[in-house]
Formats: sequence, C-alpha cells, structure tokens
Amino acid sequence: MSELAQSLTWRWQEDDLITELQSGSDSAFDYLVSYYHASVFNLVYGILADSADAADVTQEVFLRVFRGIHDFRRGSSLKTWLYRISVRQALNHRRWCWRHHRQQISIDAEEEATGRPFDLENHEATPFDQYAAQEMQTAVRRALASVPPLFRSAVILRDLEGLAYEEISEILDVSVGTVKSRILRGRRLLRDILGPALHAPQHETQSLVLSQAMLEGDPS
Amino acid sequence: MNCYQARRRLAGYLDGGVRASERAQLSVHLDCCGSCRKDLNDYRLLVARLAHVERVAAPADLASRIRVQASFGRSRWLPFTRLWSRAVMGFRNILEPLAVPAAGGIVTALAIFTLLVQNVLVGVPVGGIVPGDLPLNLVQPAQLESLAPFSVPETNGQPGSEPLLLEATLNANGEVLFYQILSGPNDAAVKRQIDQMLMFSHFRPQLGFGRPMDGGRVLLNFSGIHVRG
Repeated sequence: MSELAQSLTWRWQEDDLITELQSGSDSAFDYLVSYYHASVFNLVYGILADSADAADVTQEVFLRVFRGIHDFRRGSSLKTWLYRISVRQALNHRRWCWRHHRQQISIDAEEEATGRPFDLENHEATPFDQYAAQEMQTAVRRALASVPPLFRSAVILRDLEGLAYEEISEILDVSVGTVKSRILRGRRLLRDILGPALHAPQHETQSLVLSQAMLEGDPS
Repeated sequence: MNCYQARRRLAGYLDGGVRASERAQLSVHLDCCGSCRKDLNDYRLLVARLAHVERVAAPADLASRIRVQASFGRSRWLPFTRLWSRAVMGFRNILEPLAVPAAGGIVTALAIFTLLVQNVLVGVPVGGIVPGDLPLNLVQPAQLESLAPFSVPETNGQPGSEPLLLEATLNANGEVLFYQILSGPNDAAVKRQIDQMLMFSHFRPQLGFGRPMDGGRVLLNFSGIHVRG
C-alpha cells in the first residue's frame, strides 16, 4: 500500500467509500487506488501475461471506475464490480492485441523468459530448492498463459484470487454452473499441460497438500 | 461410476465443483480405483501450486500513474463541468422567482378550466353512447321522462301562431313547483290542461354529483300538428 494510503488515519467502510467516491472525493479515490491497484494488476497480469499491458489495462480499469462510479449499484460489492471491469478490460485488450499485434513478436517477452535474474530470498531453503520453486512458478504461469482466456480467467479468480463460485459468477456474468464447468475444464487443461512437472519436489506445496488431505479425511 | 466419468469430474471434487450426489458416487469410486486417486492427487497438487503462485509486484509508479491520469481526465472535463454548472445556475436564477407565481397561475387556470368545462358541458356524458349511462358531471339538468297521456294544449293551429313554450321549475322529487308560460296561449283553459299534464308527467330532478337537487328547470314546447284529409 502506498504512503498516501498508509497516512490515512481511518479505515473506509465500503458504503462510506462508495458514497465518497460518488461525491467525487479525491482521498476516497486515492484510497481505492492504493488498496486495490496491486490486486487488479495481478488479476489482469494473470489474464494477459504481460507486465506492460497489465499496467496499461489496470490504469484503464481505474479510469473507468472513476468515470462510472455513479452507475455503481449497491447490490454488489465494490471488489466484485472492480474485478468485473478488470476481467472485461483484460479480455477486450487481449482481443484487440490479437487482432492488431498477432504478427509481432515481443523482444521483452523473450528476455523475460530467459534472462530474468534470480534472487535468493529464503535463506533456509537450499539454492536448488529455491531455483526449483522459481522454475515451477514460471512453468505454472506459462501453462496458465496457454489455457484459453475464458477458462483461465475462471481458474485465476478461483485458485489464485480465492473467490467463491457465486462471486466469480457475478464477475464473469455467467451462471454458477458455467463457472464450475469453466474451472473444471481449465484445471483439466492445466494438468495436461503441466503433466509430470506437477510432481517436481516443492516442500512447501507437498506439506500443504498433505495438510489439505488430512483435513478432508482422505485416506490417500 | 466408471473411470471415464470420474476423471471428468475430478477437477471439481476438491472444492465443491461437483454435485453432492456425484460427489458421493465419486468418493465410492475413489476408494476402489488407484488410478483415479492418483489423478485426484495431481489436481490437489495443481490447486496447491496455483494457490502458491507468487503475486507479481505491480510497477512502483503504477498508483501514481493512475492518479495522474485520473486528475488529467478530471481537468479535461472541468471546463465543460463549470460551463454546465453555470448554465444550470443561470437557469435557476431566472426561473426560481417565477416558480411560485407560475405554479399558482397554472393551478388556478386548471381549476377554472375544470369548473368552466363542467358548467359549459353540463349534462354531456363522457362517452355517453352507452344507454342508461349516468354522467358524472357536476350538475346534470332536470329532464322530462314521460309525458302524461292527456290531450296536448291546443294552439290555434294557424300558420304564424306561436307554439306553446313553458318553463317548469322542479323540486328534488321531480315534482313541478310552478311553471311559467313563455309564449303561446295563456288562457284559463290552456292553464288547466297544462296543470293536469304536468301533475301526471314524470320528471327527473336536477342532479348535483348524482344527487337530486331543488331548482331544476325544464323547458317544454308544444306544437300542434294538424293533418287534414
């Protein structure tokens, strides 16, 4: 969160925030940007898989929010509304890029894939484990990028953002059944793409899977 | 449930993505199928790996860029907004002093118009095509319902002689209180005939809002028709 948001001495309740936003308050808009820009950026990045495009789309999303806050209906939550605009903008941007830039090959993307510096952040894990974890992250991101956008957006909202099916259905403007079906197909595709790479050792993930299995009472 | 059906549903088994009935069948199948259990484990791993995907840090200047763009957008619309608000204010300044007199005038005009229409179009039923329809005007005049079967008072029957025209005033029961001969013969014999006729004739009294009222007036015109031959 930015310094500006940290400097705000009180927390906005959502209703108050919406009222202030609708009355054109600058500080409310600052708070909204500070609080949500990272989440929106991540969501858009997940769909577009390009940092520069994600930044542009995030900017566009907040401008749309700024312009359209008067049309916001109090029935849904601000976050859901924001995510809905983000997903729509990201998919529109992707469609636009596919139409206009499909012949172009990005040099940045190539560089990002091959020449990214690797930082040793966790001093407890061995460099090998950390590198393996980093590789896994890259593989999962790459696999996500190759899943069709409709399934991808549903999987991102569910598995990366941790939203409920009902929220996703509101964001994507489809029924809960359709959301389930898209998530199911997206996961199936991801599993097929990742294949054996899924079983690469990753201590943290393994322990999480075990704890999840124990919670469910599954004997396997 | 066989393996094919189970594998189609496994991805949703972890977090309620399958129906309760299917879930029960699926768990029965998983108890006895090692291959599907392995697939389920793959999905568990996948979900766990997805949940641990690191969040990408947004560019440091992104929030500032958004704020700058928003303020730029606001300043771009500012002249139009100011112009619009000035126009609205000017319009209000002109209209506000006139608002009360204008509203009063309109209401008065409407009231007068309504009363006038009711009085001018008195007795004219709205959509009065329906037989027996009772009009709901303010005042409906008295009218003759049936004339008593007595002989019509004789006029002279000569061309140029005036027909008998009289105005009868009724009470709320439809009875004639008195009458006045406006034209025609005015002798005692004619008056007696008129008295008989008016006494046994039926009149509908004048109605105000559907209720009978005193003071209704009826004009009666008698013209003698003589057929020779």
